[in-house]
Amino acid sequence: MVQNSLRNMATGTEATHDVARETDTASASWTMQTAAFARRTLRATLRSRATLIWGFGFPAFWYVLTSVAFLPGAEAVGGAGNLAAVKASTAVALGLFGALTVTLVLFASGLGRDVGEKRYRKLRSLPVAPSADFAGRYLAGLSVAASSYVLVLILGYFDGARYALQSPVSVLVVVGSLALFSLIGVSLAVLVTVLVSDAEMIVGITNAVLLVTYFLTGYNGLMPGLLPDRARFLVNVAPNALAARLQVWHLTDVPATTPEGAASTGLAPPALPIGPEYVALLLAWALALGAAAAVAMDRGIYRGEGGE
Amino acid sequence: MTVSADAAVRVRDLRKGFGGEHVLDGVDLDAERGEVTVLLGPNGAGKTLLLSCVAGGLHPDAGDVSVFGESPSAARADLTFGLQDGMLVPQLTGRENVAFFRDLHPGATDRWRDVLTELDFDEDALDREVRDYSGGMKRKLELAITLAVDAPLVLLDEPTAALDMTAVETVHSLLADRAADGDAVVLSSHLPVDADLADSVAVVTERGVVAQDDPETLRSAVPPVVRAHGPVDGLAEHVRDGRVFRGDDGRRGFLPDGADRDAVVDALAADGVDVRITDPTVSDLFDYHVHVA
Repeated sequence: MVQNSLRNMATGTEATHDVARETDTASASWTMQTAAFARRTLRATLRSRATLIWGFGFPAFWYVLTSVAFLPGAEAVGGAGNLAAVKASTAVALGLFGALTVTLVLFASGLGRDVGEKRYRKLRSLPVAPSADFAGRYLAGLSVAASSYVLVLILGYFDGARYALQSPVSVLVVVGSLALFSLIGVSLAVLVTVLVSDAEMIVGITNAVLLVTYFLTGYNGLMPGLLPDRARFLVNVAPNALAARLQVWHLTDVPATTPEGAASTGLAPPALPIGPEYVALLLAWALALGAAAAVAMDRGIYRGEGGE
Repeated sequence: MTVSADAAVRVRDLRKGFGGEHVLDGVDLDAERGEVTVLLGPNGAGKTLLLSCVAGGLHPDAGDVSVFGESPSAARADLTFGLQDGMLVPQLTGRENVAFFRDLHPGATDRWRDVLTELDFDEDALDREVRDYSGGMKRKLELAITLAVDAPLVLLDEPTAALDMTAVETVHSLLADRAADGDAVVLSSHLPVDADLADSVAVVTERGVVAQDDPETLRSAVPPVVRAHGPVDGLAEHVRDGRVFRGDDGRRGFLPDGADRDAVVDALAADGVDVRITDPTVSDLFDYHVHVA
């Protein structure tokens, strides 16, 4: 029989189904499943023209446009050193805008296609842990988001931006806040996908969230003066602005370290979120939204029938 | 639900639909170990929904589904499900799609290569993105991924759609071998040729599974077929429900209950029709249950 011969070719044994499955069950672990979803999402995302255009091209273009057309001259901010820091903070804010584009819009678009094209009918039939699906997609989203973020920072560097760490802990804060912010983006993407399901609506809603949060927080917290006085506290609370302002403090130099400096670059008031309580606030956002997304993935897509 | 030792799949009074409308409304189905069960029915009858419910890919609105005596979700490691156009990621290469699914099922093996060889799949194409594949190539890759899993229940959604006849026969051979090894194979099809493979045929229509039995028993329950060539305008008067089907060999219809075969032949022959009455084929079985019964 063909099948018998195929089995023997592949396994070299006449082992029963039960023995084969027992052996393989241990190896088909959560880690393998997570890595499988991460590789799949990473490849599909990087091979999408939308990723190249919107995830990498658009944030870079926006940085260049901002630098050329909108940033003040060195005299207006108190010297060339301050301008270098302003450019750095602009790069950080637009780098995080790119990270959110990837983790929210592009991630939701990919998940929405899986849901809309009924691929979860197959995935639900597999012994897959929903948490492995979520974790794998998150790791892929984080990788692409980090690449987009670093690209804008490098572009800023060649444009004259200068970065400086406040302390060795700043490395942890910058990397950690990028990871947490990416988790927030991916979690929002999952929640929107589960609630809406329709692929076109998903792209529309996530784009709206991306742009509205950017503009309503004064360009990710760079220009709180654009908000009414009573709403300015939002730049140290909303996760996009909070992450950006945390990173501006830990990744750029001088102006923000004094009230006068921060004011001269438009970053204050309110004061930059430099205390540990603000890191905890970002962590709380990420954990709350991450937990909600994990539950939504489990109940809405796996135990439910998202997209049907 | 009582389950016999050979039972692989038991479906009772299954109801499933979307937006308040039931596509499946009170469906029963049985599939045994060591047998090939073919769900035969027209497009849109709910075959894919039925298979998806058995696989655990969809959840029934009502009714019972058991796989080896357990719920589908509890039996996921014991089944492998091939879903037409619902598996592959277009931006990934064939090899990457295979690798993805291989990491998700504890029973996955490397037999996908051998299945692809059997199906005459161009190995170089494995490194091309699936969005460049033809429909037949996608189907072969879906089959290879599904059949590479060691699981005692194989569920396949229209596995022979878009395949040439040589590939269809190879698929039949692979599935027959799988059944001979003791696995239960359940597949959906709207092609009567797939019934050649079946130990059991379940005819699925918009009214549910309207008949299930071995192919010979099912065919014997279908009325004789009036086949006609020539001026067939009067054929409708002599066949069941006046329903006439077109085919390569002229027109045909089903002899009504109680009709006199000779009288029907004589009446049509008098009009100059070349007429004969034969036993039903599998195509006739399909037409009878879907359009007449």
